Amino acid sequence: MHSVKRERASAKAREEKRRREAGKIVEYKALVDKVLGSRKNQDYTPGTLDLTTTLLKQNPEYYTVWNYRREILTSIFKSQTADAIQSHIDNELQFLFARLVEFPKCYWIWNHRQWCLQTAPSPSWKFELGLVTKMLDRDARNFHGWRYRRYVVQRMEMATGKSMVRPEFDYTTVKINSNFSNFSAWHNRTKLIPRLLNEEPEIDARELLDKEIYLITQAIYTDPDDQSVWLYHRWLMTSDDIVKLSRDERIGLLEKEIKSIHDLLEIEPDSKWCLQSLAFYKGLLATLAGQKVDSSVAGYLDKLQDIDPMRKKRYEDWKELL
Amino acid sequence: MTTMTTSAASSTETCDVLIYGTGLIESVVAAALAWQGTNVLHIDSNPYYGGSWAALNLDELKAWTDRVNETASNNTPFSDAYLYISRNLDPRKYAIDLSPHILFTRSDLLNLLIKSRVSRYLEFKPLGSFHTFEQDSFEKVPGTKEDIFTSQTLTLLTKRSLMRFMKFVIDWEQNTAVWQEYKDEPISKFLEEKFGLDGPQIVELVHSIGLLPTPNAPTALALGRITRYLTSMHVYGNFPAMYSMYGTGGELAQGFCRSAAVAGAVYRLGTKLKSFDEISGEAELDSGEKIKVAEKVISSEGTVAGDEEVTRMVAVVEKDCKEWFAEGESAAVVVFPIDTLDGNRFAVQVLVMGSGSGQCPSGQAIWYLSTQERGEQGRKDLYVALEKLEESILRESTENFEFDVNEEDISYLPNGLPVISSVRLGESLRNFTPSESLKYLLKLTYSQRLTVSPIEPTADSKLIHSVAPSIDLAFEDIVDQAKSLYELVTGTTDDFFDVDFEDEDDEATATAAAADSDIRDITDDNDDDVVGHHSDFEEVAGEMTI
Repeated sequence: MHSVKRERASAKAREEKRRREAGKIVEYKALVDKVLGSRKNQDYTPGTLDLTTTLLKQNPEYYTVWNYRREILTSIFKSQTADAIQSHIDNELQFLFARLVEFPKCYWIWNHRQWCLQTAPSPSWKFELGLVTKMLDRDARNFHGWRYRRYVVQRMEMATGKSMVRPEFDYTTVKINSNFSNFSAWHNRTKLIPRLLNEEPEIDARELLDKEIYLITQAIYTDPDDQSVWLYHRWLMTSDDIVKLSRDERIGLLEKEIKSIHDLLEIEPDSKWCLQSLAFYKGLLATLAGQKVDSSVAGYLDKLQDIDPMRKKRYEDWKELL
Repeated sequence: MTTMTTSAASSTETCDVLIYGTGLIESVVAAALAWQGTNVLHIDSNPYYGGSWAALNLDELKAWTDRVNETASNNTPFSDAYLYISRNLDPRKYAIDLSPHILFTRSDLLNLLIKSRVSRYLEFKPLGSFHTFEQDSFEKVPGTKEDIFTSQTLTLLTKRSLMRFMKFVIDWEQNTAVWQEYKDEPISKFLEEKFGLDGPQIVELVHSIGLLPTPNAPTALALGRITRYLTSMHVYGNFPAMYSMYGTGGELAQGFCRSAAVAGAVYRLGTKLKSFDEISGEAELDSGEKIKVAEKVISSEGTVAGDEEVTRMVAVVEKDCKEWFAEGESAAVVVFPIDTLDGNRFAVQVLVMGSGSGQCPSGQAIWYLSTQERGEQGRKDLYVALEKLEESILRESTENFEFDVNEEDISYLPNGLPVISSVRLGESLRNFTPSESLKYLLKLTYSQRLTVSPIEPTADSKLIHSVAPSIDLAFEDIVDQAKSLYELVTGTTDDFFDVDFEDEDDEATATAAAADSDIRDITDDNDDDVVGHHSDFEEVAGEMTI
C-alpha cells in the first residue's frame, strides 16, 4: 500500500508473524490441492463452487481457478431456466463487485465479470456503466476500468442502436479537466474523435483539431513533466484519423507546434519531453519537407543524454540516424 | 484522578495549577495538564466559555459591549465597541464570534483535536471558497492544478509560472537555496523576481491563499502561509479549510475544557480572581474563597502583551449569501487586497458565515470583517468593504440584472469559448443600481488587541500570562503556544497529551490513517502497476502498524 509506513517489527513480532502465516500457508495449499484435484475429477458440483469462492477471495489472481469456476457454472446452468441463471449471475456479479473493490486492477476479475454479462439472459448494461463510472471516480487512471467501459458502451450501443460517442467524449473531457495526467482518458479520446467526426459531419474537423491542440497546450504548459499529455500531442500531430491534411498543411502545423514547444523549452530548459518532442517533430518535418534535419536536433539529443542518462544509448542511436 | 481537598472548617482549597480564563490556548493547557494528573482549577470571570475567543448570543453580546466600553484601557483586549441590534431578534439564535478563525486541514491544531478526541465534541464544516476582490468583482482563487489547467483567463506562461511556483512551495523549507537571500524581503519581490509572476497572481497568492495583510510580508513567513493553504487542499476533499459550528475558537476551547473536566479538572464560570500572592501562593476569588496554588497560575486576564491591533466589524444581513458559497458549503472567505478600497494600506479579510454554520437563523448570514488598520481609518476601510460586499450580494442575488451585449464586446478564445470584454462588464456592473437595499439586522464594530509572540515570564514567577488570539484568520501556533505554557508548568513537553484513552478505539485511528493514505494511494497510483501488486496478499493480511 502506498505511503503507509511499515514499522520495523521486533524479531519476536516477526517470528510471531511467521508462525501465523505458516499456518495460513498450509491451509491455503491444502485448499489449492483440493480445488485442483476436484477439477481433475471434473467435479462441477455447487459444493466445489463454494471452495473456489473461498480460494478466489484469498487469491483472485489465480486465473486457473476462475476458469474452473466458469466450467462449474456452465455445467450448472445447463439444466436451469433463464430466470434461475439470471439470478445466479446476479449473485456472481455481487461477489465480483466486492472483489473489484478490493482488487480493482486484477485482470481476471474484470474478465469474469465480462463473461457473466455475456452469459446472462438479461444483462443490465446501465448498471454496468454506473459501476464502471464509480470505479473510475475512485481511480480515474485504472485502465482496466476504461477498457471495460468501452466494452459496456459498445454493448449498450448494440442493444439500443444509438451511438454514445458524444456523451462518452464529454465524459473524457470531465475526467481530463479534473486531472489531465491520465493516459487512459486521452487514449479513449483518440478512439472517440474519429467516430465523432464520422457521426457528426457538421463538425469542422480542422476546427476540432485546433481546439484539441489548444487544450493539450494548456496541459503541456501546466505540467510539462506529464508524459500522457505529450503522447496525446503526438497523436494530434501525426494522426490521419482526425483530418486529412495536405503535406503543406501538415508542415505548417508542425512548424507552429515546434514554435510553441520551443517557447516552453525556453522557460523549462531541462524538460525531457520538450527536448524529445522537438527532436522528433523536427525530424518529421525534415522528412516531409525533403530536407536535412535541423542542426539543433543534435544539440537536443546531447542534452537528453545528460538529463536522462538511463536512456543515453537510445539518444546516441537516434543521433546516429540523423 | 485527583480531587480537590476541602477543609470542612475554612474554605481553603488547594490545587496544583489555577487557570484564569477559558480562552483556547489555556483550555488546551488545562486539558493537557489534567490528563497528566495535574490538579487543575479552571475559572473564568464570564458566565460563558472562551473568553476573547467566545461566540456570544445577543444578550451576552450586549453585556459584553457595555463591559468593554466601561473597562477599556490600554490593557484590555477589546475597546471602542459600537453595537446596533435590530428589534425582534431572538437572542439565542445567534452566536457572534469575537475572534473568528478557520482551521486548515494540515495543521497541528487539527492533529491535536483528533489525537485528544476533542474533535468528537465538535462538528466541522468545509470551507473551499476563497475569493479575491479584483476589478470590482470577486474572483475565485486558482489553488490547484485543475483550477490552473481549466482557467480561461490565465496565459500559458502564467500557468507555467504558477505551477512552477506551486511545485517549489510545497517543499520550500528544503529548497533554501531558492529563497534564502529573500528571507526578510517582501514576498511580492520574491515572487516577481524568482518566478516571474505578475500582479494579479501575486495578489491572489499573497492575500487569498496566504491570507497575509500586505505584499510586504517577509518571504520566509509568507511561504509558510501559502504552503499551509496549498498542502491543505484535497486532504479531506476539494477544500483546504474547515470551521466548527456554533462559533470557532470558543467552541474548540469549550471542547478542551470538557476534555479537561473528564480528566478531573474543576470548572467555575462567573468567578473572578481577585488577587494572587506570589510568596504564599494563595489566590483569592471574588467569592472570598482562598485557593492554595501549589505550582502555577496561568492567567489570560488582566494584561495583554504585544501591540498588534485589529479593527473588526460584524454585520448580520438578511440574505442567505449562498451565491458566494461552493456547493455543499455554508461559508466563504473574501479578501480585499491593499489599494482596492480607496487606498487601504492593509487587506480587509472577510469571513462570511451562512446559516449552515449554526451562527444565525436560515435566510441570514454573518459577515465578519477585519483589518490591521487601526482606529478611525480602520473602521473607514471596513465600511468601504462593507459597501462593496453589499453591492456584490445584491447584484448576484437579484433577478433583474440586465446586461446589454454588443457584438464588439465579445471575442472568442481559440477553443470556441466566448469571452466578454471585462472592461465593458466592469462598467456595467459599476453602473448597476440595485432596486432593493440590504437589510442589516446587526452591526458591531470594535478594536481588538492581539498577541504576536508568546510572553516570557520571569523565571521564578508563579504567575504566567497566557496568549491572546493572533492576527491571522486561521488558527496558527496554538499547539506550540500551549506547549510553551505547559513546559513552563511541568518543565517538559514530552508528555503533552500523551494519553492512553482506555476504551480502545484503535480501529478509529487505523481507519483514519488508512483513509488518508487511501486518498494519496489513488492519486499516486500508476497505470503500469499491473500483475503482482495484489497477489502479494500477505501485505494486506500482515502488519500495518501505524
